[in-house]
Amino acid sequence: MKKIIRAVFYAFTAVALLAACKDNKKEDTTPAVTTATLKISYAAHWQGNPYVHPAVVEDNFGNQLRIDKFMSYVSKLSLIKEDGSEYLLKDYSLIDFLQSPTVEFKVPAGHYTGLKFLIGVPADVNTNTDPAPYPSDHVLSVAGSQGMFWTWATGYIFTKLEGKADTTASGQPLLYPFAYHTGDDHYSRYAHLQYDLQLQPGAQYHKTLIAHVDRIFSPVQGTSIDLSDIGGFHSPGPAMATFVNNFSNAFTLE
Amino acid sequence: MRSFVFGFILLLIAACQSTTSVELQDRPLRVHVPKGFKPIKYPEDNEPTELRVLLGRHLFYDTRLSLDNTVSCGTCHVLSAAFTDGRKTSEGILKRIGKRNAPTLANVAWAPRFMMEGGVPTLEAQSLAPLHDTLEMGGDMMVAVAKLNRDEELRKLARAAYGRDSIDPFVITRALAAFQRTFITADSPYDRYKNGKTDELTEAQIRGMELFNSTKTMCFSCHSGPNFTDYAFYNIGLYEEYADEGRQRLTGEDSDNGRFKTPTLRNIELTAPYMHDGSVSSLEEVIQLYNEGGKRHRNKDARIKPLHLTEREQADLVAFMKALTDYNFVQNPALLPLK
Repeated sequence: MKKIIRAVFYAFTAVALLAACKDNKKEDTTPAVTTATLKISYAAHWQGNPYVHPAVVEDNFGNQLRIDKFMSYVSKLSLIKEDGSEYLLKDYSLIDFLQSPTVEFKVPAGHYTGLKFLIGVPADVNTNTDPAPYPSDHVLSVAGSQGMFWTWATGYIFTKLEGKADTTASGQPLLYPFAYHTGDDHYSRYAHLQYDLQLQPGAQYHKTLIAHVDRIFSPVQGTSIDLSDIGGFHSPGPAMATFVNNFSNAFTLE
Repeated sequence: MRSFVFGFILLLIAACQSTTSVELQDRPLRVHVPKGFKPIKYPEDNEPTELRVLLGRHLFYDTRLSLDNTVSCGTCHVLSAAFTDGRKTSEGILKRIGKRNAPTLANVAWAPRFMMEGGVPTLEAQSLAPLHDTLEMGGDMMVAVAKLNRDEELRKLARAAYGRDSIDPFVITRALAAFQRTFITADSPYDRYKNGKTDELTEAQIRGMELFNSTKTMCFSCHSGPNFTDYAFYNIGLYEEYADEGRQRLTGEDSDNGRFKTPTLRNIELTAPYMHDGSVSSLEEVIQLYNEGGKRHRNKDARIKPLHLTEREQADLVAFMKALTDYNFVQNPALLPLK
């Protein structure tokens, strides 16, 4: 009997000691901070300056315009690592550029060489899909898509750029509505931005992703869009192709 | 007095049981597939049940789905007109006039794509189109969702049918589709003739049927199968310049300009006026258009050419069209609004 009691005592003591060791070990191995905080704000600019609704601006063709809506789906937002691989920040976002939203991410510290994102949504969630099954707080749902869904043809509207213009240089009120709606799997475009980003553990960074709206109409390289010629589109075609090509090259990260 | 109280209590219990049974006793709906039709393919998330169809029937005739509570699905899809509305183009909220002729919903259970340009692949997703069209029901399903969720009875029905806590876009789109898949028509004189009752068609209708299926007219080549449609897209030379671009709206391709989905011919006698814009008022005029070979258009289908039909042949074709009317379908009480 004594032997049994002694054995139980030793066993209990051993377990207690081991547990104590474990506790000590936990205290000693508090995980080091390995992530940085990266805030990304979105903004719309016109000819180098922030566009603030309801400002009236003038394009290179002499058209006066006011932008009333400027929204886009931004998907697969990713940082590019040095080795070319990607770190996904967010799958899908619906960005209202006129509201200049800010999104915060926890990102592994390290050296990144750029930012990449799809303007639109990937084909696997765009083709033959139905927004109704998504929960209402999802950006791809009926409510969350905020009208960025074509109901007469399934598929998300990738970008809406709407407003009013005076294309006559008459100085009259802005009577001419314009509405560019892009969509269709063939018209999503990736934007690649080269940017040297050194993220230190525990540090916070704030960058602004600027959409230069004027470059959609007058790109640095490519075909221009004159509002007085093309006042809008809702269907695929050459005008939509020009728009999405110009838009994918109209971003800077600052 | 005592017997009155007892009777009143019994009534209350009966009322409770009736409500409870609606909530709890959902069961799969057995759908009879007519002879000659393929089985209906139901989406995994919308197998038909009695309560789903019942909820869909409520919603189909519910004007709260429209922005100003004036228009329901049933406003433009009237059973007696084989779920069309007799107008050139439909009238939506605030008497706004739509751009296209209301299509029949008969046998939509077999349709592989929806809308006249064919951009919507499921009946569930299709219901978003009229709800959001500012010329039809007004613009925003979420507004309808908010209104319908104030209706506790409807919420109970939705919960029992789909197991969701509230009425949401999923419930609305699924229930509407479930009800519409019960719009089955296959009991016309033509169907009965095909099933052996040879006295169901007149001589003129039989001549018209043979002409319809002949290489002289080629009608059968597009209006094919049990629903008299191949669900494909053609330009039939209705106009030299189309105000409505048709399938080009979807694809952006000039070769799709003026192409529209082949409509079913079932109950065609009841669905005047005809064509995508309701511009042709009678079947006689439709046949005349085809006989003349349509107008010049770069995309006109090669089969649309002068047919040189005699007057009697044209009349026979019209007679055959009228053999496709299913009066049992357009008087089916199960498809009418609930009282």
